[in-house]
Amino acid sequence: MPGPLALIAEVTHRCPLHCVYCSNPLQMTAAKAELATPDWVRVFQQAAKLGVLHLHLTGGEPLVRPDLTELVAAANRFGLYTNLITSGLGMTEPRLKELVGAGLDHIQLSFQDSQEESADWIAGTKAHARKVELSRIIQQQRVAFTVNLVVHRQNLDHLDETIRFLETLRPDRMEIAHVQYYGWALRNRATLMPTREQVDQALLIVAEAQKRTAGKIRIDSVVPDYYARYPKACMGGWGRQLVLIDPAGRALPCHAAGVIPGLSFDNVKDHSLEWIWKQSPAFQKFRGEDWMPEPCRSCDRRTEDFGGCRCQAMLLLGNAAATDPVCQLSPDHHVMEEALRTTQVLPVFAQPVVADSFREFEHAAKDWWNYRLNPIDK
Amino acid sequence: MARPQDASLPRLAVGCKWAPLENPEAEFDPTIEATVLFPEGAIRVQGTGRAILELCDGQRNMLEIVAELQKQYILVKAGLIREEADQFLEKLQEKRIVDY
Repeated sequence: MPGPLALIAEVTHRCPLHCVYCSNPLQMTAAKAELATPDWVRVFQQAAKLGVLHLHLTGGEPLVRPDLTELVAAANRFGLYTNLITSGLGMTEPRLKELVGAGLDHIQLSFQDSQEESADWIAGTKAHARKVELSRIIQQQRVAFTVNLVVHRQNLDHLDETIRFLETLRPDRMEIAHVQYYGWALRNRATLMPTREQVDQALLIVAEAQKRTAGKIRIDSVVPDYYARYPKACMGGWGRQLVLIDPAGRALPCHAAGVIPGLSFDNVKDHSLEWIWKQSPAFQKFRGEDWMPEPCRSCDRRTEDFGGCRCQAMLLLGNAAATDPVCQLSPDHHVMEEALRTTQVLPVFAQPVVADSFREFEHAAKDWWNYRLNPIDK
Repeated sequence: MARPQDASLPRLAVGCKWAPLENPEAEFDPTIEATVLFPEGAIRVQGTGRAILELCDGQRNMLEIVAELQKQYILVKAGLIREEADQFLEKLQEKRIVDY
C-alpha cells in the first residue's frame, strides 16, 4: 500500500481569532494536553520515511507554539516541504526570518474580507490591519506566499472587490475557498450558507480574476459542495493520501473524523505512524470499496470521489457509511435541498456590533452566529 | 503572460523545489521520474520535461537551454525543441512553479 503524501499537523487548538467558519471540532484539545516538541519531531521523521512529501503546520494558530521554528527546522532536516497555515497573529519580522532561515517553504495567510470592519466582525477580533502589514513583510522574504479567503454569504457580495484588494498584497497564489461545513462552521451554517445566485456570481468573478492575473497570481478555488451535483473526493479518499495529527497526538484520516462514533483513533505517542497508516482499524474502516453501500458500490464515480465525505454523511444523516448526501444519486439527497431552502428565508446579512469585551461582543452576536472559542485548560 | 524570450532565465519559483531522491517507500523509479514540490502540491516529471526543468537554474538563458537539449536529443529539430520547451515552461509559469 502506498504511504500518505501529506501530513497535517494540528499543533495546537489555541487561536487568537474566533472565525465563525472555523472547521476545528467543537471539542478542542487543551494546551496542557498538546504533544511536546520531541513527539512532533519523531512523527515528522516517521512521516518522511513513510514517503510523506508535504507537512502542513496548522491549528488553531501554529504561531502560539514557541517551538515552531524548531519544528520547521526538524521537518526541513527530514526533507519535508513545510507549509505554514496561519492567521498571521503572533508573527513578527524577526520571527518570520527565523522560520524562513529554518527552512519554511510556504506561508498561507488567511483573510476574512477586504473591509476591515467586516473582516474583524467575521474573525471576532481585530486582526485585519495586522495581516495587511504582515503581507508587506512576507513579500520581502524568500518564501512562497499564498493568501486564503474563505467565502460565504456574508462576504460574497463584494468578492470582486476583495480579490482586487488581495491582488494588491502581491501573493504568488490565492485560494478562494467556500466554507466547508464542519465544526464551528456547521454550527453557523444558517448564517454562512450562500445563495445560489451568490455561488453562480462567484464562479464568474473568480474566472475573470484568473484571466486577469494569469502568470502573476495563481488562483485556486474550492467549490461549495452543498450546491454540487456530486460529492467531493474528501481528502482524496479515506486513508489514501493524508494523515492528520490532532494537538493531542491522535491520528485521523481527516479534520472532522472525530465526529464518527465507534472509531477510536490511535495516538502517535503509543504507535508508529507506519503502524497507524497500515494497521490501525480507524484508517482501514472506509478504505477501499467493501464498506460502500449502493448507489456507490456499482457507480462508475466510486474511483473518483470514493463515496464522498464520511463525516458529512455522519453529520447530516447520522450514518458514516452512507453515500454522501451531496450526491444527487443519494437516496438522502433531499436533506441537502432542505438545508439550502432554509438559507433562502433567513436574513442575509449579519450586522457588525461593537462591545467592550469579547464576552459582551459574543453575546451581542449570538443571534447571528457563535464565535469559535478557545480550548479550556481544566 | 508571454512565453519565455531568448534572454529569459527560467528557474524554479520561490517556494518550489526538487523533492529529495532517497525515499525507500516511493512507488516510482527515481532514475526515471523526479518530483517538484510546490505549495500544497507536487508534480512528477520525466523524459523531456524533466530534462528541460533540470536546466532551468536561473543561470542559463533559453538559447543555452535549447542548445543543451539539442545535444541530448540530436535527432530532434531545434525549432521543435524550442517550441516544446516554451509551451512547457509557459504552463508551469501559469502554475507559479517556474519564473522567467
